Amino acid sequence: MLTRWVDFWAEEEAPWSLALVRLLLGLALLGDYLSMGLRGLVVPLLTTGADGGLAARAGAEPALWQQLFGTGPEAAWGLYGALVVTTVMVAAGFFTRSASLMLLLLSAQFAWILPAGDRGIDMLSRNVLMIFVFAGSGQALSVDAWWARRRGSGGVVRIGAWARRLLLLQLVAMYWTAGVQKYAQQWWPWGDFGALWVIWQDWPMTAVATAGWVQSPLAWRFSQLATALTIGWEVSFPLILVAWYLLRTADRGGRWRAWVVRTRPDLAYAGLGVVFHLGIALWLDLGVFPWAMLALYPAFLGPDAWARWVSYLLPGQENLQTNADEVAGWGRGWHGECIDG
Amino acid sequence: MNRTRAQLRAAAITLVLLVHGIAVLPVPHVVRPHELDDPVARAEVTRWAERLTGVGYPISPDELGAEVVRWSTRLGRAHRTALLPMRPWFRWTGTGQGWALFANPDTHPSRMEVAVVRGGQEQLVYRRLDPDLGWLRDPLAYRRVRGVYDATSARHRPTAASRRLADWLEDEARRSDPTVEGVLVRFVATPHPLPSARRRGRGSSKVRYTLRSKGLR
Repeated sequence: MLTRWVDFWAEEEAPWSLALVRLLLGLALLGDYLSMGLRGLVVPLLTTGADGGLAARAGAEPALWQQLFGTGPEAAWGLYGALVVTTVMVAAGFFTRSASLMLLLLSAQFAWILPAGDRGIDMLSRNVLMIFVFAGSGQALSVDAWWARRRGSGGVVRIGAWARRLLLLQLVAMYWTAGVQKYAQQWWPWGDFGALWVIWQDWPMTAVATAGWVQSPLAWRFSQLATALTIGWEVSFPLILVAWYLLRTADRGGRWRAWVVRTRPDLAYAGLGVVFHLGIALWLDLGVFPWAMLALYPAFLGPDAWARWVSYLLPGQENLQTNADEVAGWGRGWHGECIDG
Repeated sequence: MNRTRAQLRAAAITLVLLVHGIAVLPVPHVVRPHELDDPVARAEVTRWAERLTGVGYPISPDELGAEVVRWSTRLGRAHRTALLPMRPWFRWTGTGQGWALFANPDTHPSRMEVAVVRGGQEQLVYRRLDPDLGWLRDPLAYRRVRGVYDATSARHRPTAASRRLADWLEDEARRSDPTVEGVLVRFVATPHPLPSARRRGRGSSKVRYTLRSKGLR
């Protein structure tokens, strides 16, 4: 049992899935920071009331950034500039691990300075950055990988599969706990599945409250259906672990394994998640949240599925593709290795 | 791979899973008695009490509210204690768990309004999602700014950060018009009963609270 546990976390895979997550998450975060700058919010969000900002006076436990550089506008611009630069480095995969660590720590300083402005998606992003600090997310689709190839040190690259697995476990935990913590009755049949309809009209976050269609009977029925799907999807999300287990042990045979291999319920869960987040992007004004969430979704597909796409889109990167042995090795992989059958 | 390295990696991952496994436990947030005064929470507790009574566990809304406060406090305290050794790590890295996303949709959400005061006269310049009152619409809609003023239903009084928001808005107003005396930031609660419950009436909007910027305090 212990040996199998050690072996499971020691497995390796091609870097495509994780690299794609890094690239997309970096771009989403960059868009968020640029949006903040373009709205003229650098000084308001990163300075204290004494300088006209929204942050509390640096009290008994000031952020390290405030201790080192003060609380004024210059310190705010310094932190903002550092956030933007390190985000670009993460997206580009330039000194990827160091940049991930720096961005993680800088983002935590932002959270320290203005806790009210730090949202769940920021914490989730930092959790993912923590994985990047230790994982090989910069081994593909990155300046680091390009440089390694240029120096001739880039062979067939494999990274620890543990990173993507931890990321997927994070998503499972997040969706499931988000589901079981939905105490409000509007999420449940006895509350008429009215949650989404209510959320559509929650002024601080809605984008559609004033649209006429929200009050139509069709919108009400649709919102009930979407609410039921959302709560069902979140609460049952851990079933994806069962699907992955059955896929991993598909060679043992059996009716359930055959069904899972044939129907790929794990991909149905991921597909529904994409729809769910696109709906949030369409109807709610939550900024980077849906996009940063979608940036994590490439992890649901195994790297060889992405490798096929990359070899199609970027010919000449054969050294990063999975070879026959790897594919065979992935035949017992966690999931996603046979996306197209 | 070196076997020792693989074992160390597995041990580290096990520790991470253990710590984050505890952190992610769906423990309800600590409910304080005043939070149950809020109409949304009150209606929620009443409906749950009816439901529990209906399935053979008779309990009044007041009793249920007291139980919620008691158990959420106990559980929250135990959860915090279990994670105490990791607290500095979570603080410095900004990592952690806690995903109560859209857990309690607000049936009485507050629509924010901003009025500029000149010569003692108010002029409404911003109302959320009003195309004709769009002063500073983009900055106010930014998610990190929204965090300063949203979830007003769950608060029985304005936060210090939302007061600073009013002061910042005054500074912004003065930037274009030095005669501005201050700004008023109002949060107008607008009930949204479900279509299936409208026969009981829609309810009327009312100002939850008004923030006065520094020039008016």
